Amino acid sequence: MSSFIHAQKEIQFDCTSHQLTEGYEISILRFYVSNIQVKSTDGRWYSDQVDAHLIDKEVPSSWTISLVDCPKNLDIDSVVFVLGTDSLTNVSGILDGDLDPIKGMYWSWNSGYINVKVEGKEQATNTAFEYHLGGYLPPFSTAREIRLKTSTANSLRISVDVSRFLKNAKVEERLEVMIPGPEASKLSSHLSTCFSID
Amino acid sequence: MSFSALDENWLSPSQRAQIDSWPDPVYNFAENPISEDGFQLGRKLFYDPMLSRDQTISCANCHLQYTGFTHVDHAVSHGIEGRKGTRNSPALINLAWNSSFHWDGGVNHLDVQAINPIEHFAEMDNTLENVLNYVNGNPEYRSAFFHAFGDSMATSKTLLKAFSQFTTSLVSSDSKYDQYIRGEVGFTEQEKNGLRLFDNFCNRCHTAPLFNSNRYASNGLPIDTMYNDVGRYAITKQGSDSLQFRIPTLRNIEHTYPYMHDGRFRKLREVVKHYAEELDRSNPYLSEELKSEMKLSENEQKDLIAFLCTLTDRTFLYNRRYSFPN
Ligand code: HEC
Ligand code: HEC
Repeated sequence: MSSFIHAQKEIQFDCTSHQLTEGYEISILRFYVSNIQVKSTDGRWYSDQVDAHLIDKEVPSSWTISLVDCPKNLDIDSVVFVLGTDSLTNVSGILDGDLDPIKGMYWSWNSGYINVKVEGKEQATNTAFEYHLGGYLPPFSTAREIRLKTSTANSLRISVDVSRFLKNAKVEERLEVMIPGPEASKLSSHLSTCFSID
Repeated sequence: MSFSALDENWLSPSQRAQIDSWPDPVYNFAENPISEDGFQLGRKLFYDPMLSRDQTISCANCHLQYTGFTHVDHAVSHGIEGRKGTRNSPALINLAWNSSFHWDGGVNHLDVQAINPIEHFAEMDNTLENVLNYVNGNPEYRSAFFHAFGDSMATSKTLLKAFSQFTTSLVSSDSKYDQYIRGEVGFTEQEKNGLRLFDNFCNRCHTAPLFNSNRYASNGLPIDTMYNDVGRYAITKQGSDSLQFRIPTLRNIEHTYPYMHDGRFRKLREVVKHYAEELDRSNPYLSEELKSEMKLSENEQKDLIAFLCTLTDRTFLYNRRYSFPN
């Protein structure tokens, strides 16, 4: 067992590959991933020790999450996590680490985390868009549980199809969503379908 | 109230005795145990104009002690460079019992409240990061943070908890009303009659002993045409929350004018007249508690105001511990 101690399972998020952003110039892409759990092929569950991770397109080190306690060569059946932050996190006052409001992902007028920021423009039309998705109050909560079943058992590479999200958002005829509410909730549902695993 | 649950350094022994029969506070002191060092640090921060971007405005500019920590005479608050906000600066009184903050309850925890004025364009227009850089570069603050939190390097967490150490300590519990309830002083006939009227018409929302409620309501004010402030709706986007505002405390109300979220009334006389004579009961947003008839003669309106003035607490307004530190 001891040989596993320093070799931890890693989850990698890919949100920058060409095919995932095709047609768009993305200037800001940041989102929270929280409450990560993985299930091994023999049915055991491993929970992440860290409450929430901020994944930032500009910070490559943030794309990889190491799961302490989860051995690197364990065969994985599925991954479950929350896109965003759960409601308890949003009412817990001042938190630190990736949840420190200094990270710029916090609303001070409507306490709570901005779960997702996507900003940029569509190249063909030069149309700018700006989405700040957040809000935890029902019925417009924006955190979304995502369950992904792996196909290769060992790799945990999660792709985020940003292009697809932006196309869906365009269909909704919304170029700017900056506050909690029905639009943010709807777009969060769209975004949650844009995650897939290799 | 269960003191065992409370931090032992919160408030003086006499203040604790005064709030003995009050409900338990909402603020969780276990997560921010009050200490004298923490309180003094919060006080220093509260009065420090260096926290604003142009170093001109402290929290105390909009929250003055002698007026119950509100911005007396200003309908809406004024920040740096004379920028005007859209809301009246509320009194900071007995905040430890509030479950949400701001007129629309948009702030859900006292510890995150101070981020708003620090970063608000029309208030201090600074960033949390700048404020941390400032205190971390200042030897006095470094020493103060070390004594209060065991680490001279301030973080968002310790900075914001320091504010709460001070603001939770702003407890008003020694007004004439409190003394009357404790049997220490008598009320005049007029004040007694005012109390009776208050119990009949006002206490269901402005509930003693805190004279507020952790709820939202519409007291029938027509929407202000200048700001079109929809209140709680802006936070929840639920139609039923339109024009609902937090039910504020009436402690020290004699001194916290002007009144309401937009400061539209300058005198208590106007407030009482609004409730007694101007309420439009067909207003669909009006809260249930105000739908029944409220007949108040001119004399009764005066009695009600006389009672409201018994909520003035000079011990609080002039408590040296709350004033500019020297
Ligand atoms: C420019 C004026 C201004 C400054 C400076 C200011 N405030 Fe305020 N404060 C306000 C206004 C206006 C509100 C109400 C905001 C709202 O309802 O949207 C408020 C609300 C509050 C509340 C909530 C009270 C309640 O009952 O809801 C607290 C606590 C508070 N301020 C503390 C502070 C602290 C601490 C500072 C310094 C870091 C500060 N304020 C600086 C104007 C100001
Ligand atoms: C339905 C609940 C309700 C009842 C009953 C009620 N109020 Fe209010 N009161 C409120 C709300 C809500 C506000 C804040 C409204 C706003 O700013 O838009 C308020 C504000 C006030 C204010 C201004 C406080 C400040 O800091 O600006 C005063 C004074 C006041 N009420 C006095 C009274 C009196 C006196 C009565 C009884 C005649 C009364 N209220 C009955 C809900 C109520």
